[in-house]
Amino acid sequence: MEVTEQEIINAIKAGDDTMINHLYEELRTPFIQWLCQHFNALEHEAIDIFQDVIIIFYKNITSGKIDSLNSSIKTYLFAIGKHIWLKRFRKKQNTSSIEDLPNVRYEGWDLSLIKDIETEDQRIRLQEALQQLGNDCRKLLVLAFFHNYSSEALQHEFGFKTADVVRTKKYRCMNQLKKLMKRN
Amino acid sequence: MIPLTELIEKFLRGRLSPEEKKLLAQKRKQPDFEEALQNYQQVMKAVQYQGESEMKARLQQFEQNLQPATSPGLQIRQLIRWSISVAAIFALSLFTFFFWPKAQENSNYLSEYFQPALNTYQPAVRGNMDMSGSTTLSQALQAYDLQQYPEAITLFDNLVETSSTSLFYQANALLANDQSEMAIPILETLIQQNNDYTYQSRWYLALAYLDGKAPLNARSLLQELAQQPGSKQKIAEQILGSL
Repeated sequence: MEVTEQEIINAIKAGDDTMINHLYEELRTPFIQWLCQHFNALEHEAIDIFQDVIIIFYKNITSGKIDSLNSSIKTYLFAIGKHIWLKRFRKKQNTSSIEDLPNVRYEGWDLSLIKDIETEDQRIRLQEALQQLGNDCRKLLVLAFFHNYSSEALQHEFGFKTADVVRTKKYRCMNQLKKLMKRN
Repeated sequence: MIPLTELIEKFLRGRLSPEEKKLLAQKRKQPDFEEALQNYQQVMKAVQYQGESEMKARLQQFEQNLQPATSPGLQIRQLIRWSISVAAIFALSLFTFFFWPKAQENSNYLSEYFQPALNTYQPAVRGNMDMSGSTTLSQALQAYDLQQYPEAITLFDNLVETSSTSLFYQANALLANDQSEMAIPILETLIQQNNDYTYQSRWYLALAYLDGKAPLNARSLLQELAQQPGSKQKIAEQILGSL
């Protein structure tokens, strides 16, 4: 049975990561060919950008910023890719305006990646603090705030008895991380 | 009393109840509120950064596992190449069986070069628990991640349904547990299919053949890896040089 695009979004929202692999495989080659052809990107640059596009798309779905699209997923991913390319490689951009994408509305979307926002020093500081945090805490925080797992899903994942235990553990881990960040 | 961190989280996610809104209004007047807000945002940045980095690493690994783009013409060429490889492996197997000197059979490439594949497969559905009591792929992968290979092997064996993912990690668990002879038929199956693990399976099969004293079978696979751009190209060249 053919999976609709809305079903893909719903599945990613529900945590079905195989959909991300499916999207990656499906759109990787057309995206790379498109970016190389229209923006003179090198293949490794196009691959790097495509991976970032997938991450941004995933973040916007799991954080609830998007529930449905007014164009195809492919159009959205290509539009995000164009946005990233122009932002990162504007100097290299010498092609004429690209009119092969329909207007895509992404009001309310988060098109940022922390690596683009933070300075190198800040990122190293953040990374160091996280590495000092215990594995369980780090995993819990990433699942809770990056993958946006519900309390019930976290409860199952970690085998906690109640959702209250999840809540307590989550805030304890956040406090530990805060202390580590202050110390660094 | 709701902790300030939780209050801030709900505020930033727009999930405050009317009572919590009132509470927040009071808290905002306190001098330490701004600092708590900034701390929270820093924690979120750190977590986002970690999540993005982990996901990027996962996608990079997935990218490495992918075959080069396949056009119909390319698929036919690959099929021909695969058929030639199978014929070559068969011929080399016969040659090895009858003529390979016993003195060549003692190199321990597996212990030198084998690294169990990183588990890049995520559980299909969050918090998935199989209430029927039967083994799930995530249980087997969990044991694999914890390097409890004998347990992982048993759990992979108990799976009701196998997939390229379960077979791939099962083969890795077997290699990690010094059972290359058991890993070989699984890896041979995987390299005959076009799946996410075909490329990596060639590498592990080459190591398994070397461990199973079939260096000529391994040589053929290593030559393929050495000729194809990929993560194992250089190491394949290196081993070929030492064979």
